Amino acid sequence: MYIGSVISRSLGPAAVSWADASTEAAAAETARKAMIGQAKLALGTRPAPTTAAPKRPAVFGTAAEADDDETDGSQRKKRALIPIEYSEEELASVGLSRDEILARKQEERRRRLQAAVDAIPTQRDALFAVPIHWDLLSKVRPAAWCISHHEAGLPDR
Amino acid sequence: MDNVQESLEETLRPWITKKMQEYLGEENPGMVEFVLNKLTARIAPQALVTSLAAALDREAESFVQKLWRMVVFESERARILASD
Repeated sequence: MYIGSVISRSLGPAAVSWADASTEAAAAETARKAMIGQAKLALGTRPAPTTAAPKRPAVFGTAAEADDDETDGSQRKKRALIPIEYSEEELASVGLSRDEILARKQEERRRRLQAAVDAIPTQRDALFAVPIHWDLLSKVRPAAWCISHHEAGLPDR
Repeated sequence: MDNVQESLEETLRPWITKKMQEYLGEENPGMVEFVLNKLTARIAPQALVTSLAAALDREAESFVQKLWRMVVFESERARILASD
C-alpha cells in the first residue's frame, strides 16, 4: 500500500509528465505535420503557377515563334504559302473518284504554274538572269493542262 | 539539242513568225529559223539581242524581252512537270 502509494506518487507525476510529454509530442507532431502540409500545400499551389506559366510558352513553341519573328521573317512567310498537297492515295481514301482526283491534280499543276508565272520578273535584267532549265525543256511536250500564254499574262502569240 | 528545238518550236514558232512579220513588214522564214536555231544553241538573251540588232534595230530589245518571258514560262512549266 505504501509502496504502492509511493509508486503511484512517484509514478503519478512521472506518468502525468510522460503523458504530457506524449501529448506534447503528439501535438508537436501534428503541428509539424500541419506545417509540412502547409509547406507542401505551398509547394503544390504557390510555385505551380509561377513555374508553369513561363514554362508553357517554351513547351508550345511561342518562344521559338517569337524568335522566328525577329530573325527569320522571310522563312515564316514562305512557310505560310505552302499549300497542302494530297497524294492520289489520300484523295482516293476519302472517296474521290478517279476523275475527281485527276481534276484536282490538274488544278494543282495549274495553280503551281500560275505561281511560277507570277514569279517571272518583269524587269529586263532580272528576266534575262532567270536560269533556263534547258535540259528539262528538251523533254517537255506541250500539254493539254498548260494554261495559255494569254492566261499567264504573257504577250499574245 | 534537237528536242529543245522540237518543244520550243511548237510553242514559239507561231509567235516568232507573227512578230517577224510585224517588225519586217513581210513573212521572213529565214529570220524565224535563225531565232529558233539560236534558242536550240541555248543562247543567252543579251547575245540574242545583239545578234538581232542588225535586222530588227531597236525592236530587237523588246522582241527578245517578250520572247524571253515565253522561254522562262516554258522552262518553269518543264520544271513543274518534271517535279510531278
